[in-house]
Amino acid sequence: MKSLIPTTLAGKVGVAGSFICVVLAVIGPWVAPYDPEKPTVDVLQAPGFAHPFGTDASGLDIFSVVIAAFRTDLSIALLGVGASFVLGLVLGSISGFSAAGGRIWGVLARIVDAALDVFQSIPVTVFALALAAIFGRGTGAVITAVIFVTTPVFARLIRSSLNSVVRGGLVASCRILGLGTMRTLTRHALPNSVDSAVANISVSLGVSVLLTAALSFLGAGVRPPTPEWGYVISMGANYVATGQWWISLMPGLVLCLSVVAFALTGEAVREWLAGAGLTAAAASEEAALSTGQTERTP
Amino acid sequence: MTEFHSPRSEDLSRPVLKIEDLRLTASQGTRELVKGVSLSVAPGRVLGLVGESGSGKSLTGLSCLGMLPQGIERSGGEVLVAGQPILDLAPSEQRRLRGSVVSMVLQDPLSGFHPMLTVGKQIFHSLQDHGVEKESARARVLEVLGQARLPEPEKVSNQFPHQLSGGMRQRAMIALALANRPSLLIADEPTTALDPTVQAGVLRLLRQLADDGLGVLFVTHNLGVVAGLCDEVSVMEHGLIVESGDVAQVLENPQHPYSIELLNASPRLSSPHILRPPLNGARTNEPPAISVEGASQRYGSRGIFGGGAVVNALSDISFEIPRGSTTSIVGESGSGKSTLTRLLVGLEKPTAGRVTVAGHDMATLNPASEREFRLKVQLVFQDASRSLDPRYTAEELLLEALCVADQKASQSAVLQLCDRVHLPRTILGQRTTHLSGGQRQRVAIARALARNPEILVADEPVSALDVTNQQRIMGLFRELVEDNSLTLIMVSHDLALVRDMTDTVITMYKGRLMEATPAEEFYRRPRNPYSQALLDAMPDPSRIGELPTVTVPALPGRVG
Amino acid sequence: MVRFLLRRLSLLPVQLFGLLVLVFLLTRLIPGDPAYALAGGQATAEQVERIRQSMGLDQPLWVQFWRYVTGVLQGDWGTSLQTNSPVVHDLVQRAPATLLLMFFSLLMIILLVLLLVGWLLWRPHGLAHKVVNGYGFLAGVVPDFWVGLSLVSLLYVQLGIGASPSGQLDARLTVTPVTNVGLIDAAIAVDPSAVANAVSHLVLPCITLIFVYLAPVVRIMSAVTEKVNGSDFARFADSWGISPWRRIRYILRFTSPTMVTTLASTTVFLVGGAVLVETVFSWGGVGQYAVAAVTRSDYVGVQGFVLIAGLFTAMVYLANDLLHAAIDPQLRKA
Repeated sequence: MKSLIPTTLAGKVGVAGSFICVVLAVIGPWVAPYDPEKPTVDVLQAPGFAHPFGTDASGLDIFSVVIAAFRTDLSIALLGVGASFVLGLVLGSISGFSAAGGRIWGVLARIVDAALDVFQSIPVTVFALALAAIFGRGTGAVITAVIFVTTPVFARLIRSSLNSVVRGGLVASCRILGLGTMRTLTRHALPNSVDSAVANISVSLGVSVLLTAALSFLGAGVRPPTPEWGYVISMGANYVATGQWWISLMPGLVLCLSVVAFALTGEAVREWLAGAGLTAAAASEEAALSTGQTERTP
Repeated sequence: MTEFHSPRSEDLSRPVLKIEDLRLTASQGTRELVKGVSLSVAPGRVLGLVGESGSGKSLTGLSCLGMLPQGIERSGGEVLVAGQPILDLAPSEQRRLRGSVVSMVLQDPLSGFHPMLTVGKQIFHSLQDHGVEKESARARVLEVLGQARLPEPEKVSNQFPHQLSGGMRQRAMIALALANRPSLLIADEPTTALDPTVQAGVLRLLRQLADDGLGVLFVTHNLGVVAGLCDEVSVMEHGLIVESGDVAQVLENPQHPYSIELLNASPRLSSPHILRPPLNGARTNEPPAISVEGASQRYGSRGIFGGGAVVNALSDISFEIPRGSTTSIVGESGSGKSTLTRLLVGLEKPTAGRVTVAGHDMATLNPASEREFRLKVQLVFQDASRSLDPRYTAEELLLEALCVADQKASQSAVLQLCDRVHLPRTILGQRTTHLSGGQRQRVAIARALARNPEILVADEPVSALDVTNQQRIMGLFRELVEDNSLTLIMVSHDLALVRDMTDTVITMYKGRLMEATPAEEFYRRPRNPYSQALLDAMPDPSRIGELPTVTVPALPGRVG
Repeated sequence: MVRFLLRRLSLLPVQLFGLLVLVFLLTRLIPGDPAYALAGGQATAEQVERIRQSMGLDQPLWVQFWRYVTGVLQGDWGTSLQTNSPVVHDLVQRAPATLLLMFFSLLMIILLVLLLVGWLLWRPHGLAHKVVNGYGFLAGVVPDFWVGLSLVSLLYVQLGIGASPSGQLDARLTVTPVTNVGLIDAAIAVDPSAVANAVSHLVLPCITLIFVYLAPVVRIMSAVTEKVNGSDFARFADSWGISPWRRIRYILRFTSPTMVTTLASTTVFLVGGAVLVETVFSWGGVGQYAVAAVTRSDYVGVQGFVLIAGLFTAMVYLANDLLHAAIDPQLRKA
């Protein structure tokens, strides 16, 4: 089994950053210097020693709010993306493996494809906004919006990977050998198709965090006073033009850095998977490259 | 016939290409890929550079253009193209030479041409970039397309690359390479991807161009082609030239062990081999293993607005295969042999006609009878790396093949299987991606044999392997047929390859069966003119100086 | 080609039907009694009943759907609960402002990506590589609303570039609203100071959108371009001595289908971006309307906004397919 430590500097930074995010998500509210929901007397203070990120109009310490918000944003992301991955796996399997199944499978696959097409016909932000509105805003609505928006991504990744595995001949050879459809799917086709979806999990976490922040910024997301990055940014929006930049910009910076960490982790995962050479697609590439010395042996 | 390049008197003595002790390294000098190669090509002569994959022959060819890939460096030696040291020149100087002094054609013209520009436009651009002005360039485009023997040059010039057939595309690529009248052409496996009958025509074209003064460096792994086309040959192994000289001298009297090995492994039609006596071991008094009557296969349907394409992949095929015999199904691309293979192993049902395999009617195969069918009939794919799951070790794959129907399989059964295909037991614990091509194919064969099928279908089982490996795997098939009285169906495009082991030859062309004849009679004198054309088009290392002929008779049947 | 056109257009009704189904179902997913939701928070009991009758909410679902579809096709998309005017009217009034923003941003994105990719092809291993990869990294990482606010702080507050995030024109300027687009109205009124003012207000929102949505395009195009640069196709062209300038054009043309697809999805993303950027800069376009609809539970407005976004997306993808057929001969089976 290949070493789990990322090879590139970027990968190391990403994994370390993601780790910090997870840690803060767990212990955040306890390590924050001030209570993120209780105002202090220092109103509209610029960043300084007492308040590293400054305070807002009601005296809330921005640093504490930002630290506490990790839990909110990350738990939404993990729940939403986790559910989406599972759902996407199922839907993608139905759609991508229809060539090998029977008539009923084919019908189901058509329905799934139609649904995926329809979900692609509306811009993501718009769709999420509408869903948040429909489901009444708040954390549950945001998670639902994340699921609706992320599941098609995973479904499409699984579907196209399965399609290329089927085209590559692996499925035909299983069938000729006499293996059943489900067995071929679960033991051969799917394991060779999950790589791109798995590498995408980290990226989707970042997207989910951005989406949560955007919805909360617009007032359609997490309900105050639950600490959340987007909401803090929206609170400080009116003050930016008058020079009190820290209320909006500091939380945004933290948000960016977290998403960067997730993105870098996703790249590291992708490289790790490619290096382990496990997928059928990677294998035939490698086979083409490794001829030469090895071709001469019987 | 206009000469497209007239050598001046002093040019005749000077070689168009002279490589002296070329050394190429990779990975910042840690790996030497070409270890001191020297050769020369005179105007009007064709030099064949022969080697298997990894020999360094393609890199040598690229160096003649000054186009070494990223990461490859020249650590020693010189490449002189028409007297100029191309690897030492500045990029703008190199660009001037490319196209006007030295040029290249690739194996796959579809990936070389720009897909969105017409063929004529691209030739026109190459002329413009070398300073030819519009009117002369336009005329030259048609002229050079004609020199490449393309019918209707005007029409071809206005077509896009994907609209041309494989052979025409390769000719168009040659035309583009020659537009600016270079004196040296580097041809890197230009006919490897073409059907034999088409290949023959392109080889003839190259010979004619050489006769008109073009110097050609022909890089290939196929000694048969070298025998017909080349004047001189250099054999490369692991970055070194092990033998070179006149083609007659090297091919008739090879000195180096590697050259001898290559020659022995090259399939040929003309050697005085003893063919198998007809239907040796076949049991004709039993019901045939396979019986096909009037089978047809049709794909596609007319979509709305008439957009769909209907393809008649098979039309009215009938033949019988007795148990215990070996039959070869031979055809070029588009012949329908792959479709027929799919019908025989139950991956598809025929749209018409009747296909009976091992007593099962293919049209009525249902999940219950399919299980029984799969015990009797197995398939070996062309490309083992795509049909074997790379996540499993060889041992796990063999185990899976052995206990498909939930039977328990013992470790000794796996070892036995391993031995049957002559695989060293040490490879069992490895993933198939770490094995060589030949070993992978043996694993695939072992899986097919796991439950002792009666019928084995092999779909181009060796075409992805090097020549030396091909012989070994074909030998394995021969052995398996004899030991197990298997009924073997070998699908191939290479008549020379199957010659020594087949009882019957079936040739196919555009979905129709051309003939089904006992091997001895077939190779002496086939009944069908198309089969004769196929035989004539096969390159043969012992036929020196004789190009495969292009005899395309008037054939019945619609264009597919 | 005509056959391709017909085949592609025949898909459109199916897509639009799917869109209508989705939009319709959205409002029927609201937990609780839809009549209350569609009547609005301030409605009295009689008003709710009236809504229930007029929208047929006691009828079976497919009857409701039929009524909805016929209404939409006749231009009746309902009455907004926040403005009390027809939703269609609200949207039409605000759309030009949004389109202006998206148009300028998209234009600049196309220009900039061509410049950057061209630079990358000209000098593949120098500064271009670092700049392009560094910038491309930001793709999908920076939130547009935060970038907008940061730009306001950095460029406007610190450097005086652009204008305050208070809409399309300064409040003190009065220009006759013809198109509801500050820039165009000022031009129509032939008021140079107003035009200048409108342009200054346009600067920061556009830069925001460009900065955020150019990155994914650059990232994809640079990856594709680099791959093509080392492929058989480029090698063969080099072998016949293609001139450097023509080489760049050959590669750009070769990758143009990918460019078209990427720009199509960027345009769709820009709709979402417009929603957020309009909020930050109080732009007064469709995006801001949508946000207001959401926060004020104007479900009719939300439905209308989603529908128009979906229609716009369908148009963009249609244009995408048609452009593909125009540039790639392999798609038009003659």
